[in-house]
Amino acid sequence: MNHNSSVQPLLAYLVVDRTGLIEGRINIIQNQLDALRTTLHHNKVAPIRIRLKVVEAFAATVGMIEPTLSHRLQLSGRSPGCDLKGATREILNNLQKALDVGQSSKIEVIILLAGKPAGDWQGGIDSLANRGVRVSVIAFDTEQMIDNETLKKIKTQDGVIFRETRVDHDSIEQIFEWIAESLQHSATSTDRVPPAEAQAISPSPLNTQTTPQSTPVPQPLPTQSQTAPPPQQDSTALKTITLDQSSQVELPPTPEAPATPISPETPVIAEVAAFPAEQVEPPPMDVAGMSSEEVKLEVAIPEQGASRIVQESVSPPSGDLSLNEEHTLFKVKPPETFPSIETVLEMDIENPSLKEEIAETTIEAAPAPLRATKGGVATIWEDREPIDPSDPVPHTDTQILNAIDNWRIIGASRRGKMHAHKGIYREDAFALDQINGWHLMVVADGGGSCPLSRVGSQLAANAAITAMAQIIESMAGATLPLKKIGKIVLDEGVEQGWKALKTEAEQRQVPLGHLGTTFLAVVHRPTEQGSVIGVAQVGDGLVVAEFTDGSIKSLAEPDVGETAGVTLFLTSKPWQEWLHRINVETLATSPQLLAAMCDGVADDFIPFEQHLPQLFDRLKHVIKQEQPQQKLLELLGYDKRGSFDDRTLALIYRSKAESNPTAPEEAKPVIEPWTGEQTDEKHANDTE
Amino acid sequence: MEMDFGGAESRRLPIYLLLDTSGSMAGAPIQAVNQGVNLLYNELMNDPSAIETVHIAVITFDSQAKMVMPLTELTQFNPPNLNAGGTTSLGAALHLLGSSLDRDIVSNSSNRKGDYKPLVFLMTDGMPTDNWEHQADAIKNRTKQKVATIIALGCGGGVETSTLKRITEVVLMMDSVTPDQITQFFKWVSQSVSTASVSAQAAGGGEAQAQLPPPPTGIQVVL
Repeated sequence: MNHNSSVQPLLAYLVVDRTGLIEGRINIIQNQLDALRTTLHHNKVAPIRIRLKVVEAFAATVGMIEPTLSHRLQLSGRSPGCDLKGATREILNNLQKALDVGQSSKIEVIILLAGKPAGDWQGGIDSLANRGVRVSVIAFDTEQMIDNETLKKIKTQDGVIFRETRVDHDSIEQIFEWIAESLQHSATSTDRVPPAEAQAISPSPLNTQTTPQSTPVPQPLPTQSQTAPPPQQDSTALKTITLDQSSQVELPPTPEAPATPISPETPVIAEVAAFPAEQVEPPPMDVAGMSSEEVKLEVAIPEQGASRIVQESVSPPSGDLSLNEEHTLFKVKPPETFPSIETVLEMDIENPSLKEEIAETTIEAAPAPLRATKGGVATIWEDREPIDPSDPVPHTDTQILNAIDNWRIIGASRRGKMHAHKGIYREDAFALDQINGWHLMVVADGGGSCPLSRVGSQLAANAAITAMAQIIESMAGATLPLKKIGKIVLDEGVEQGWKALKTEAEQRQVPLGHLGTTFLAVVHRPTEQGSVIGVAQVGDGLVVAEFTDGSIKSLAEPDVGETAGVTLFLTSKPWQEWLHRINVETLATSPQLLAAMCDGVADDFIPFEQHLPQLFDRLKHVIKQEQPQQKLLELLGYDKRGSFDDRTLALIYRSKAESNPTAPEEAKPVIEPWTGEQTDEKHANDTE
Repeated sequence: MEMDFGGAESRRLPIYLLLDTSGSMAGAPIQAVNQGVNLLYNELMNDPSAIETVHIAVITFDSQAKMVMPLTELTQFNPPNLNAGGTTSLGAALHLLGSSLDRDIVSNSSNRKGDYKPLVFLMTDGMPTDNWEHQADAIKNRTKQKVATIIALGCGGGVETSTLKRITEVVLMMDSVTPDQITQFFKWVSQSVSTASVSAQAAGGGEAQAQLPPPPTGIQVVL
């Protein structure tokens, strides 16, 4: 103990019975609590850090507060007695959380009882004691409400240090003095305070009249101490310090008290539990933000039991722990055996704006706008530029390609209201090409939950379109059936799109899932009689064709879960897994419009039977205009309630079709299901 | 060029508030809950995506469970004024929730995209006084149809976490039941709803649909 080790923060829980039994004494207890806080806060004797939490226990409920001067104790009823069980449970919960984040390992619980606790309180104390927590019970039972049986139970409870006093008001001060000194002693008992000094300032009040130790240490655990073996565990060594009202205060005991048992040589060592060495990591240390008086030790916590872990032998470091240059901070990796909160509740910890909102102290909401909607659409959408300069994406994109025989491919994509409102880049992308009579289009919808979705969608679309064009060129002159070629081309598109994401993820050293995007690739090859059309679809979105008779045919079955907003991404599986989803079909007639769109558009036209004809009417109008790609972009700016996603649509059509470009009015649209070898896919989230 | 969607139903994000109005909530706590619901309304009314998608229902439970506000679109929502008194009929409230989900929620189908996954915020400060176990199991065991994300908040030490865990895996505990803490909770609810309304609509669908922001100080996630 005689070393310049770091001080381990002490986590102290004070349970204050605030049943009506303390009526008349509540103010003095309040004052003492405030004084205690001040005392501990201004402790300059040794660089210690005590985290004091006050748990108020009363009849029905328990609250845990950080003792602040502004906090006031409130009186509750007298019966059925304080909820000691609830208090201990609260402490255990809080403790677990503190241990999870590696905060502290020295734990002290002091319970101030004004009367008989309600219900079954023993289990909670057992749990604390079993974790090696030192529990002190002080009964200031002026009205003698604690019956003898209960007293006996408390006294014989394993691991409890019991003090009983039937005191007047003055003695409350003494109790708190004792608490203050006891806590300070506990905080310093294993730190760098030299023994002599420690003795001088730490009168070891707990032990004046009894054998030195009563704090059970979970067994079996090796002790880290090289200087003194732990004394025999004796959990039955309970102490009763009776303060009668005339007592001239044995509280706190003077330094001259015959036994100062928590001395460097002996009993404290009993509280030393070693870590398993493999759970301890050497520095690096981080002392940023630590004041010289704030000394923090983060320790590995074994999974069970040893919650009292005390850094014992530090000079020289044992190898399990090391000091940083300033000898102030240990940083030890917390064990993985404790689940982190994040694994239980998925939290959006990567969204800084949310964190800022959480940090806000103001809780006043702005008043609701007077006129919130117009035609069902919110009036308070804003258009914000992204602050993040990385991987910028223009808010709109258009393209037009002319192919032989008057075929055209156009595409448009625009940032949705949500991304505009939040100042986020567009995450949709599309790419087009045409070669050797083939028309190619890919639309991709970057996953909103994926940090680099905008990169993923652009990359997948561009890589796929490039690869598809290349393989078509390489197969020029091949005598394969067109349908077969279509399948080869789409296979290549899926593979190269996926691989581009994989390569990018590796280069950026991020998980592949960060680039998550849906993927919708379409190949179209007009023939003498009709068309060969192939589709590869991963995730949602829609590919539909309208024929000259006005019928509309869906060409792929999108992934739709039972609940909206669930889909698959190209990155969800290896590329080979997607190949069976590719379908190529030979049609007897060519479509007059072949459209591929992301769900930001497609979802707005559900049910398709009812609304898709309207979209195709508009599209047929668009393609007759100059700059049809621009007109398409404008079209995609329509307003619809509940629709604020990015919108992307690509279109293959014959600009001077032989047939009447206006579909006959009387033609009833028919949605035919895709009859290909589509197989049902499990949805990523359908197990929810 | 305007599109005419002919009053087509847009997808909703249903929010159910299950609020304990038993006697132990009387006084400052129930006032804080009333203010909290108001706060939630005002916060969401400043979020355009929430305006267009969120529908709120309020179920209270004391000696009996009541649907004080059926599923109502946010702009039409009128925060109720709740009073506290009576016992804690959690089981009845869960039963009412279950039947409401069955009745209200539109599932995805071949020709309609259904509602977003409902979010249920359950807030209670005491042990149930009715036969709640069967209802808890029924709600928790919904896996196929009309599934909801349930977030349970226990206020103070009068609530056994094991009770709430039987209803949902997402259990939060509020250390001290103060008006400020209750307000903070509703603030957090509004953030959770906004997050859900964003991610549900997010491009490519919302795999992050059930993501919740970290709870405020003083409210802990129970493992």
